[in-house]
Amino acid sequence: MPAQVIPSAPGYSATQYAVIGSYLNKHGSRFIRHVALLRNGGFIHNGMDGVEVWHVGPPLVAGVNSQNQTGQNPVCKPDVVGWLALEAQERESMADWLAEVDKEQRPLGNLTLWQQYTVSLDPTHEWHRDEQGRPLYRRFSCASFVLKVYEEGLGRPLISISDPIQLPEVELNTVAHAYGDMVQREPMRRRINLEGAPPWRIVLAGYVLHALNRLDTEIRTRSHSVTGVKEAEFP
Amino acid sequence: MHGSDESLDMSELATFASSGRSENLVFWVSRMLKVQSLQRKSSPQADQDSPAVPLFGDLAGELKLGHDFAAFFRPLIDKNFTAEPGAAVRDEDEENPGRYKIIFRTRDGEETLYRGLPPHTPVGRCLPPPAHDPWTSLQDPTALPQVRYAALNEIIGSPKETDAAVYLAQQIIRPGLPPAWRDLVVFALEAMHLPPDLHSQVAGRLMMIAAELRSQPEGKDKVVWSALRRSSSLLPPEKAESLLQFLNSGGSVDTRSVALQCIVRVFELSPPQTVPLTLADRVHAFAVKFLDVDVFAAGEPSLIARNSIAALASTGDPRLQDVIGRVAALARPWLTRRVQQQLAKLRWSWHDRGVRRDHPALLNLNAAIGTPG
Repeated sequence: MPAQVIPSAPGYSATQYAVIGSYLNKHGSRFIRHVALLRNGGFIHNGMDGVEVWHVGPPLVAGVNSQNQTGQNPVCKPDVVGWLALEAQERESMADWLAEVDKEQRPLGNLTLWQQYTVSLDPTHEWHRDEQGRPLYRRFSCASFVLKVYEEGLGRPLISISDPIQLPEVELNTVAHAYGDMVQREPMRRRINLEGAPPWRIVLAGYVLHALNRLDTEIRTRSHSVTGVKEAEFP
Repeated sequence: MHGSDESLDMSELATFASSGRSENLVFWVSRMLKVQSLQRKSSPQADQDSPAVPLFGDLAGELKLGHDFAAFFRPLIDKNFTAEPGAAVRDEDEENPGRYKIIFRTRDGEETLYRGLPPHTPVGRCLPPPAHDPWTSLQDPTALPQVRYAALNEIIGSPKETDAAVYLAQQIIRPGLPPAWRDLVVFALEAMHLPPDLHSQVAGRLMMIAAELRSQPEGKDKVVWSALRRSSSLLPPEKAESLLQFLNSGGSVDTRSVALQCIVRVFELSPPQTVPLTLADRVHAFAVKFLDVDVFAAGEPSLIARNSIAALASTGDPRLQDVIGRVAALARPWLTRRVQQQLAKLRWSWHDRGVRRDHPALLNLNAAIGTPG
């Protein structure tokens, strides 16, 4: 079903695991700064302080375990919503995937907050490994977290991210919209695997909502091809 | 225009600003600051009343504030690339009488409201913290554990990181560490790579800590899980059966789910030559129980079921085929797909590390998931 801007009244009845998007907090901006998974179905409307979600902040909070570990109860300002009508078994499958990443070993504290975050689509950056090369936990951005739950959990890739060359190039200013001024600093960019000089081919949060802004049958049969950086904004 | 008259007004300044002649603007602002300074000195209260934060509309003060804030921010954000400067307003929290709220605004306009903050204790003007050496702070046994942990945060990513890892390993091996510092060292060790000569000792000590804390009534679950996970990634495969104690219920912390993951971790690099039967029996019992149609549920239970299947596969136990059959009997295509993904990952790990194609555990795995290796 098409994604939509959430109205302030009368609001919208959203289903569990719908994708919630938040705009950049600048008047009139349509730049989607963050996406997350709606934790429970319910009535949402624009202007709410926030709805409970599972997401990658960082830190990743994908279930009770990571919620307890991090002491965080993540909420997201609901500006835009996109969804796929899920069957009961599909919700089970997503719950199973969430339980898995929820239980992965993610060290605690600020020491490693950004260690669990990556904007890179390079498979070698996906896992944080121990000194013997064992994969310890996966690293996501907010967008890749949502994409992975649909791709691995549900078996429905929303956007093909295996080949980054298919994604548009993104300049530093646009990345700074998404991540704030901290990415102006090279060490911070290196830490989240934004290496070398701009532009970079990365997934932006807005792409996820454009991928969901299609008919269910289309979402289920083929992944979305991003047409340009303009899809960082929605609509 | 650069006259000597010190009586100037805001309209003059605005005219210069709008004219775009910035060199003139800089000159007049400098003059204004000088006048402001002279006026302060002429006031009897000036020396006692030197506000760090000017009133709004006080241009000279605001300009000065820029300098003061820069001096405040610099030591806090230099070399700390996760810190984000911004502006904040503190006020009484009307929803929490007696507490405070702070509205923080980043430079790109993102606002965050922090409520219910404890009353502040005025400490006078905030000065840049004194320069310190994080390496010295980390090793200072008299410092608060949080201070030492913060020092470690500064060391991560620096040339001293390896030294810090060795130091923390030596710390955890020592018995009798103060509990608060011990817990932080356990967490920190999960994030650091250790030199091989320390693996065995650290693994043994972390396993001991996990067992000790599990038997204590207060139940430090995060520390126990962390110690158990890190221990298993350093544990030699021949000692895998020491994880058996954590597969049993009992104690103040439930370690069963984490212990199943740990078994996979131990054998992920290389499967055992012979099946560790006691361990495999217990794992098989888990798989059978959690794949029972009356017990199975999505989420945590399905994860335990999948982890027990992966753990059984990692031990090379031939009962793997039986549990795969139980998965099929649940008639959940997504579960079959997820189990296949998980087992394929184990197979790739063994393949990448050069495990022989005719290794019994690999043959067992291939037979169970129906694909030749």
